[in-house]
Order: sequence, then C-alpha cells, then structure tokens
Amino acid sequence: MISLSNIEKSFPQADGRVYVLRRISLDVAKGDFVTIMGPSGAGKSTLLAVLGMLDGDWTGEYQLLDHAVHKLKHKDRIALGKQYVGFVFQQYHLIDDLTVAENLAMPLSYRDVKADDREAAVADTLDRFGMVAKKNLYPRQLSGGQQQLVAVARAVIHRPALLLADEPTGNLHSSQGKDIMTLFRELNAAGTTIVQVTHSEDNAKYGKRVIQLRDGWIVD
Amino acid sequence: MMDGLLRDLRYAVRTLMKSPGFTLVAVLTLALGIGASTAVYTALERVVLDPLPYPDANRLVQLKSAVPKVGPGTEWDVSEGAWFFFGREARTIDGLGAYTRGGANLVGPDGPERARTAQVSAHTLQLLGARATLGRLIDEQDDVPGGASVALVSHRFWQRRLGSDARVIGTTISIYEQPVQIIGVMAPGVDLPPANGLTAALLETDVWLPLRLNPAGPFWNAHTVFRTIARLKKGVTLDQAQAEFTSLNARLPEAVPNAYTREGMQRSGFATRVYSLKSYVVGEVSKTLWILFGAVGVVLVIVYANVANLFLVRAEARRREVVIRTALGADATAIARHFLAESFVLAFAGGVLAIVLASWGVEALTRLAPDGVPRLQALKPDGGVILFALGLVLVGAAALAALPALRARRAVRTGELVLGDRGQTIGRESQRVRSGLVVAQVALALVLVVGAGLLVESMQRLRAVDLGIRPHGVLTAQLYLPYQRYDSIPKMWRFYSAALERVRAVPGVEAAGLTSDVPLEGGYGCTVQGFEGPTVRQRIADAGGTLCAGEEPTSPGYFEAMGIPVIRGRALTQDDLEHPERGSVVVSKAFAERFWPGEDPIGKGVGPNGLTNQQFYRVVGVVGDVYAGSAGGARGMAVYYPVLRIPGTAGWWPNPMTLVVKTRSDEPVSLLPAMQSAIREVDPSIPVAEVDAMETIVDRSMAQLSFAMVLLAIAASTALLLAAVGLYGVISYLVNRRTGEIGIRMALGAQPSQVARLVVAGSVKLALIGVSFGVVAALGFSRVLRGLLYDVQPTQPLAYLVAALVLGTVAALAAYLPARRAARVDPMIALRNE
Repeated sequence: MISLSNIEKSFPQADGRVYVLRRISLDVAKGDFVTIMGPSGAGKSTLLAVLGMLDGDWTGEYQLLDHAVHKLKHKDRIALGKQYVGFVFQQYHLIDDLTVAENLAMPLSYRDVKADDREAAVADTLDRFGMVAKKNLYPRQLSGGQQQLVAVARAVIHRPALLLADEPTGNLHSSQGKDIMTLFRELNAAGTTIVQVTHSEDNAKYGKRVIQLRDGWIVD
Repeated sequence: MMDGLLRDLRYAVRTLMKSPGFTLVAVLTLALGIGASTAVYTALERVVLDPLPYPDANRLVQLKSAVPKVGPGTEWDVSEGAWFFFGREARTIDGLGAYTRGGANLVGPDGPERARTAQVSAHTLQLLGARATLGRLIDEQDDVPGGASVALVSHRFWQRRLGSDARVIGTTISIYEQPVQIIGVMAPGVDLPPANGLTAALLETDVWLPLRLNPAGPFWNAHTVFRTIARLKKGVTLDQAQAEFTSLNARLPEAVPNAYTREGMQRSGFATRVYSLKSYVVGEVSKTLWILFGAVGVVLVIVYANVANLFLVRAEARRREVVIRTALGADATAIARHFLAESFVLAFAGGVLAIVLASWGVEALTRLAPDGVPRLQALKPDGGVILFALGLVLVGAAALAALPALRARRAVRTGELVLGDRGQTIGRESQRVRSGLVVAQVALALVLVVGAGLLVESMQRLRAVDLGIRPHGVLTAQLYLPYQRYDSIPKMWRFYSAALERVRAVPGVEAAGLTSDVPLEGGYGCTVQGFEGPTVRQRIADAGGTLCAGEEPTSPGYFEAMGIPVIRGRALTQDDLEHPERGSVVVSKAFAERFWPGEDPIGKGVGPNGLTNQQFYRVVGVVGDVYAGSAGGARGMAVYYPVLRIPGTAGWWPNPMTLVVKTRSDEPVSLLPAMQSAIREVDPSIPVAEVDAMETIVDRSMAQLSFAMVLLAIAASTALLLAAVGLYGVISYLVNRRTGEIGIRMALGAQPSQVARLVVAGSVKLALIGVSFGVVAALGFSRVLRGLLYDVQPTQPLAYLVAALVLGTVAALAAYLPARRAARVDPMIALRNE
C-alpha cells in the first residue's frame, strides 16, 4: 500500500543542514498495523506527517496505492490525503465549539457528502462507537478518553484506507489507552491499514511489526 | 454549497455569541460607520442624485443671462424680449416656460396673511407635469394681457383655506384686493423648482396666477422679472442647446434693440447660458454633500480597518482550528467561507443597527443643514438607501474576511499539528499586518482632522469679518402693499411713514427704518446708474467696467437700525422725505471709491436706471460697506435713494419694502406681536411677513460653511476615537506578546518608567508613520475643500501641525494603559511563563 524510497527531510542552518529524516525506505502492506518507535527527536512524528500528506517538504519517492505522491502538486497531494488517510492526533484536536456529532460530520462536509448521507454516516458512527448519548455534548464536557474516542471516530468516519495515529494514548490514562488500542486492533481487523507512533511498548504490542527510528534513520 | 454556507452561518452565530465583548464592539463600530455613511448617502441621494419630480426631468433646463464683467459669477434672468425671441427661434427646445414667485395679502378670520403666489406662463405647468384634481390648469387663453382674472389654487391651500370644498371652482378669492376666479385645484406633489437659499416654507406655492407677458412689448433691459425653464427636444444634448443659444444671444441687439446694444453686451460680457435644471437647483450644496460623503467614507474605511484588526486577533487565536479543519480536508474555499460567514453575521448585525442609526443621523442632518438646501425636507431612508447599506454590509463582510482568510491560507502548516506550534513566526507576521492597519487608520484620521481644522479656521475668520452691521437685537420683516390701494409712491410713503412712527413707539424699539434689500441675502442686484458729467462714464468705459450698483430705496432710520455707520456727511432724514425735490441720496463707501476715486463724493450727482436726462440726486452722505451676499463674497456697492422720488422723475418702485427694527431685546422676535398691532393700526390688511432676526440671516449666510465644518468635525472626532482604539488594541497586544522580553529587560535592570516609555514610544512611532502618510493624503483632500475655505490656504501649515500633534497625543494616551501594565510586569513571573 505504501512504499517509501530514500525519503529525506532537512532544515537549513547557519553551518549547513539539519536532517530530520535520512534515507527512509519502507513498505507497508495493505492491512498492516505498523508501529514506529524511537527516542524523542528521532523523526517519528515527522515521518507520520509525511505519510499523511501533512508535510510536503521532503525529497525521495513516496508511492501510496497507485499514486506517485512525490510527483504530485501540493493541491493533488491534499486531495489524495483527503481520499485515503485518516489522522488521530495526540492532542485530539477537536473543535471546541462543535458538538460531538458536528465534529464527526466535519470531514464528510469537506468531502462534499450530501446532508442526508452525512447524517446517516454520523448516526452510524456514533452508534458504532457507543457515543449516541453524547452526540450533543461539547468536547469540554467529555473526559480525555472520550475526546480521543471522538477523534478516532472522526478519523475513520469517511472510511479511509490508511489510519495514522500520533501517540494516540499519550494524554490518556492507561485504561482509556487500552480501550483506544483495542479499537485500533478491531479497525485493523476490519481492513484498515494502521501506522502508529508511540513510546509505549504496550501499545506496540497491538501492532504487527515495529520500525525503530533513531536520529532520522531506520534502524533494526 | 448552500448547505455548507448555512452550516457556517449557524456556527458563526454560535461562536460570536460566545465572545460577547468582541461581537458587541465589532457590531457597534460597524453600525457607526455604516450608519453615518448611509445617513449622508440618504441626503446625497435625495438632494443630488434623485431626478427632479417632473416628467423628462433630465431634459429640463434653466436659462440665465451671464454678465461676468458686472461681477464674477454674476447671472441675471432672461429678459422679456429675449424670452419671446428664444421662444420663436430656438429649435433645440420643445417648450419654454416662465415663472416668478411672489405673494399676495389675504384677509381671513385670523387676520391678514401672506399667501405665496406663483405667476406662470401657460406652458410652464405642462413642463412641470402639473394636473388639476378639480377644474383645469391655466392655459394660453388665460395667459394673455388683459385676460380674465383667474387663479389655480394648490391642494394644500384648498384644504387649509377653502375647507376642501368640492364646489370651489368658479368661486373667487381676493388677490391684491381684487376678486380672482378659481378655475382649478392643483394635484399635490408639483411645485416650482426649488430655489437655492429659499427656506422650505417659502417654496410651497399657495396660488397660481397667469404671468401674462406681453408679446407686443415694449421690451426693456430688465432681467429680474421671471425665471425661464425649457425642455430640450429628445436627443438634443446640453452642449447642442448651448451652442444654439450662444448663436441666438449674438442676435439679441437686432431682435430686441430696445433692450440690447452690442456695446452694452460687450461691456457686461453678456451671454445666455443653458444649465440642466437639476444642477442649477442643487447648486453649490452638491459639492458640500459630496465632500461630506467622502469624509464619512473615510470614517467607514477606518471602521473597517478597526474591525479588521479585531478580526485578525480573533483569527489568530483560532488558527489552531483552521489548521485542524485543513488537516481534516477543508480547502481554501471552505476556510474562506468560514471567515466570511462570521464577518457577514457581524456586518449584517451592524447593518441592521446602522439603519436605525441612519434614521437618527438623517434627522440630525436635516436639523443641522443650512436653511434652503433644496429637497432636504422629509428625508427618510428608502429602497435605494437600504440597498446602499446592504452593499456596505457585503463589502464590509468581504473586506473583514479577506485578510484572515488569506493569512490563514498562507499560514496553515498542517504539519504543526504533529510537529508543534510555530505561532511565534505567525504572530509576528500578524503583528505587522495589524500595525499596518493602524498606520492606515492614523493616516486617514489625520486627513479628516486637517480638513476639520481648515474649516474651523475658515469659520473663525469668516465670523471675524466686519460685516458692516450690528445685527444683535435686529428684526426684519417684509411689508407688501396691495397695488390697488397703493398705486403711487406718495400713497405708499404715507403708509410707511405712519407705520414707522407707530413701530418706533413700541416699547423696546430703539430705531426703525425701511429698505429694499437687507445685507447678506444676496438681493442687491445691479442696476445701471446715471452719473452727472461724462467723466465717470468715460473712466469706467475705458476700464471696461459697468456702471451698475445696488439701487436701494431707503427710509430715515434704516442705517441706525441696521448699525451701518455714517462715514462722511449724514444719513437721510425725515426732512429729506418731506422735501423730495431736494433729491438727497446716500452712497456706500465702495460706491464712492469706485466711481469718484480720490474725490469728495458729497454733492456729486447720480441718477437711477442709468438716466441722465432728468434731475440728478445729490450725495449727502457716505455709509460703511455691507455684504450683499455672504460674508465671504464681495462688498456690495449701493446707492441708497429716498423712498420718495424727485417729483416727475422715473426710477424705483418701493413695494415691497423690508422693515428693519433695532430692539433692546436679545430675542427681537418677541416684539413681533406688538409690531404687528402697530402696523394694523395703520392698515389692518397689511401682514408682517417673512419675519427674521438679523442674527439668523447672518448665521444663514454662513450656514453652508458651518454645516460642512460641524459634520467634518464630527467625522474627524470619530476618526480620532477609532484611531485611538486601534492604537490601543495593537499596543496592548504587543505588550502581551512581549511580556517575556519585558521581564528579561527588567531582570537586567530596566526601570518600570523606562519600560513604560518604551511602550509609549512604540505607539507614537506607529502614529508618526501614519502621520507622514496622512500629510500627503491630506494635501490632496484639502484641495477638494478649497471652495469651502475662507481666507485660508489648503496647505496652511498650522492645520497640519496641530493635527500631527493631536494624533501624537492620542497615540501616547492610547498607550497609557498598556504602558502601565508593562511597567507592572513581575520579571520572575514573566520569565517563568516564558
């Protein structure tokens, strides 16, 4: 599904360049559940941002399904990301002034889904995630775990082929974190390819394989 | 798309209600700017833009006789001979009308009243689109010399004086003490074209009479009898009509030899001018209104800039949300729509409130406007005005949303959702934009402050002008005598003399007299005078000038009542009037200097109407100059003849006359009832009409400048306040962002006062940048004001210096609170937070 070849990212500095990613090459098969681990500053989140089309400032080759991302213009990359990728952030990044239902509907509204279909999808997702009773609540009225649950639901409501998660349990209690990881496993079992970044060995166990990053390099 | 827009609108309302402070400030500020602009636009639309309420109004023109060599900008009306000649020969018009305004004394159960009359040629009513609701209009058969005495009454007069009686046709009313048969009732809504300077009350005609010009003549060189309007033929342009009338003008000496000679026309620069009726009606007030519109437009731009600044801060605070939306798939259009929805909700709410404010503003404008601004009555916002306000709402919404949307588009780096916040860089860029907006506000505010300052100085200089009179406590009124009983000057004088005697006996009256025209009302006119001996005529002819001046029949007591000083010799006395054969006359100083420079004018001979073949009048005194029109104009040259002519000579006709009464009261109008009673003792049928305090006339003569000055001052004050708010907002935000830096400075030894000075200096620096741009813009704007200024140059440095100082002071004051906050920063807390 994903094929990276010699991906590099760097920043200019007074005395040269600082590399965040160095010659990253990896393949992710459809249905895979990959965990990216490494110390702080290893480039994990940067790699995730590259995979999710949130960062377009890199060199190398990136193939997503049949699309040569490295050849696409910025606008086309965004469209591709919109079509295939869902993102779960460590900080949840819910919109505070929107209800749970409205937060879920947002990605669909940006994909020109008709109002009726949107409502149906939201209702279905609320039900699937057991949040029907909370649909009219605002994020500040939810616990951290509930907010992250909404964030996950929002990430998958448009049925992306690829789900990227950046420290999805970083701000949660362990029990809440377990619930989220169990959910990820279920999504993966249902066919969603997942790539997560985590510090947690426990979370890594939910995945099928681990990639280690250090100083921007993939190490074994 | 609609679905998305509605969703964004709902969300916008929700989020704005969660920020009541921001929303209230933004809505009120927008309402102020849009409301003020809408109010002035309402006046502009009605007075300047709307067509006149006549059929084919854009084809209606007014004809005038320009005599630039008599005086700059001097214009007379068309003479009777020329009128008939044009009517016969002109091919570019398909209708020629003539009309004059007047009055008639009517006696009713409440005593005598002065009805407003209009004498019109038959075709005039057709040109005005008049129709009769009862009976018929005046036609060609009525409009002949010696025709039956008929009248058309206005709808209002029919209701007020005739009880809306449907059987009124064929009944009579008394006009000039003669029975006149009513032939029709005019439908409401049509009246003569407004005349600039006439108060609204004087513009409403009560009774219409035939004008009865005589095609058989004889035609004299009299140009103040009636006004001329015409309708251009379809497809004929104003320039084409002007070309034809210029050609016809050149033929006047052959066509009307009694009235025109080539030499006379050359001496006065005589030319026939064709003006669009609307431009003539609107006159100079058009320029004033456009200037005011520009001024409120500047305030509106400042308002938008102010609210845009608020919007930018809000947008920056919500940048995270924009980034999330973008990460979730929102494209640039969706983000822009999001901001547009919010700005539209704000602008719409501001617009709704603005309509209310505009209604109040229109009322205030109408009260403040000079008397006699045509068509300014009964102003209220109509459909066109609502559309204008809606347009401002949409422009405002777009303008407010544009900056944040553009910046959001540029600033969104969705990667920061995983890679961390780079708000510092974005904050600095936003700060530059905000500072730029504030600099623009300061520049625009300076433009208005300079403009207001120039007008204030003009007003001060105008008020300091010695008008040559002492208007305090002086009352003026018109006395119209019916011709049937006052058909000779001695009969008129018997009435006037008796009336003056009784008025002078009223307690509180210090002096009373009569004259033809009072100063500052523009009525002196220019009548050619005759001079004894050829010297004066030759000298003036050699200089290419004219021999005309104001010819003012005057009674004893007038100069004393008006406070005009006698400079040399004496004023007219009762003895002069008892011995009219002496022919005593008084001249103004400017008259004496023009026609007898370096000579003693006492004893010189002068005669009315340019006549030199009869006994001359002898100058017995010279009085101070007064202004015939406004104080900013030229001083009027005048000859003050006695009311009674030398027996057997031709000359003026002293009816009506203006009664001028000097009272001891601060409110001279309070003596009016006593004066009315005094005059009724002489003749109960003579009303005291068109009463005015002289101070009111003085104020009215300066009203245009005063109006512009007051409104520009209001606009400038508003702009200053907004600029101060804008500066406060930016500096306050800057202090917040630099709290860490301030903490470091203080930790390194900076005193609170030094920190405060730094903050104030930042504000003043922004203001000075704005001032530099503002000075350049103000130099342009002040040129536009040139026509309104009196004795003040548009580039006068004092106005600019004062404006710069004012804005610098405002900047310092706006920074006061943020500076105080900065000086109180606790370095340890600031550094810990950093």
